[in-house]
Amino acid sequence: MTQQPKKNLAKKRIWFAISIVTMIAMWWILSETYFRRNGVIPPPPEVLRQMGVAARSGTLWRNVYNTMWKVLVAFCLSFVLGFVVAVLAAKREEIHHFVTPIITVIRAVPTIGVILILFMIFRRPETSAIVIAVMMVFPMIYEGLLTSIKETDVKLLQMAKVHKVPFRRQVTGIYVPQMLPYAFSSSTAGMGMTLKVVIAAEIIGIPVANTLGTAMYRARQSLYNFGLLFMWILVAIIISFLLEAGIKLLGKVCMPWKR
Amino acid sequence: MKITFDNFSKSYGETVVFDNFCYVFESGAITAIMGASGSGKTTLLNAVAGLIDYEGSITPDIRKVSYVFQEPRLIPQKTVFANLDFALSSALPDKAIRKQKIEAMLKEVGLEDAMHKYPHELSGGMAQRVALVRAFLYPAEILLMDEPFKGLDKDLKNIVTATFLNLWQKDKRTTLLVTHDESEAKQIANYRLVISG
Repeated sequence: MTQQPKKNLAKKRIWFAISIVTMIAMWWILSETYFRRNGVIPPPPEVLRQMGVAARSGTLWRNVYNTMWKVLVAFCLSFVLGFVVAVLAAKREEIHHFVTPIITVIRAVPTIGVILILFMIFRRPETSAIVIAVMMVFPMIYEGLLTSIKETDVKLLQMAKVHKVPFRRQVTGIYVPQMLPYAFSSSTAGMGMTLKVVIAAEIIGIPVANTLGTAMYRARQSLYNFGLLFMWILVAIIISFLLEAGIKLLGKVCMPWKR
Repeated sequence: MKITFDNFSKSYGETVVFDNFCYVFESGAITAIMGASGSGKTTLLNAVAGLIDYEGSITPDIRKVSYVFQEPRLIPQKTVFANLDFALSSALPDKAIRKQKIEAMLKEVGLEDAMHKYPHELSGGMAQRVALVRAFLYPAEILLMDEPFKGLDKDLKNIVTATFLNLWQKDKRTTLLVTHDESEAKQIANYRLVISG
């Protein structure tokens, strides 16, 4: 790595750290000043204490597990569906024209409304949470991948044709590398969105299982236990950060030319 | 290998570019194809390469060609080695032989240090030399070159031209070179074909 990118990376990390410290400081200041009386925003040590309690009792891990499997299943389904439909739409214009209005409608429908309808259809909260997450995230993945396929350099395909490179190798050698940056950027956004939608569905659905959403719902029910509510929100934020970092790390491994 | 155009015709919409064009490109020689922009120089190359449809005939029917385009056309996500390996994969199925040939040819043109670099890490001249290496590595009797020295400054052009002539002397393929540059045609080509639009 040359001097300039190293410098840029150090700068990025410093500002990342400053941003995190600023957010925590603002949270602490607000909790100790304006919201001190009503306790709507509990101070960071109180939230961390509650997190320690939940971790020791096992509630934290159980809730995270029960939410995360749905997030991962929903995300994988969205990705596979987005990929397959994007490939078909890139190949056949009729499919693209057919899918476009469906995606516009999905985008326009209020998320909460769809969650309520799906709960009436499926009854099972897990299924509803996964279906709604797929509905919300699939368009994001589909559009990112379709753009990447459409932007494949025709000149490179000509070069491959002249050299009689088989189609299978063109896919792995030209199409896939072209798609990867789009796949990773839409996956980063899509994973965050999946987590949010699944938690929203868990809160709105009949809270029976132990999940992040139901834990937030119960924290609100139990005389507005803000410390607990904040703790679960913080857990969701940490998971989101970790998922994003994981996808970025995977991106670096899969796209060495970007390093 | 001679390349014979017989009653070759090609139109783009209403525009007729070639109408019953006949010509024989001499075997093992470099023919510079010159003419105004839009006169159909690249069309001739693309027809030989099988990249476009046309009417009439070009013989031989079955031909293996290598092509140096105006721009290097290297896959940005692959290293120099991987780019060459990709282009040779169908012509040379044996991976070990491919590796050996690529390494030898890169060494011959002084690009061995660039083997594991990505295209964005190469200068314009280096990238075009890699494209030349790719063309000569690919087993073909016909070489098509579409203004391969365009956009290079004088020094770089001299280096890339020298690389080309050095490779061509060892492997005298029937070469069709599209160029606008009169002096380049004089320096490199054995024959000149001027197409009027």
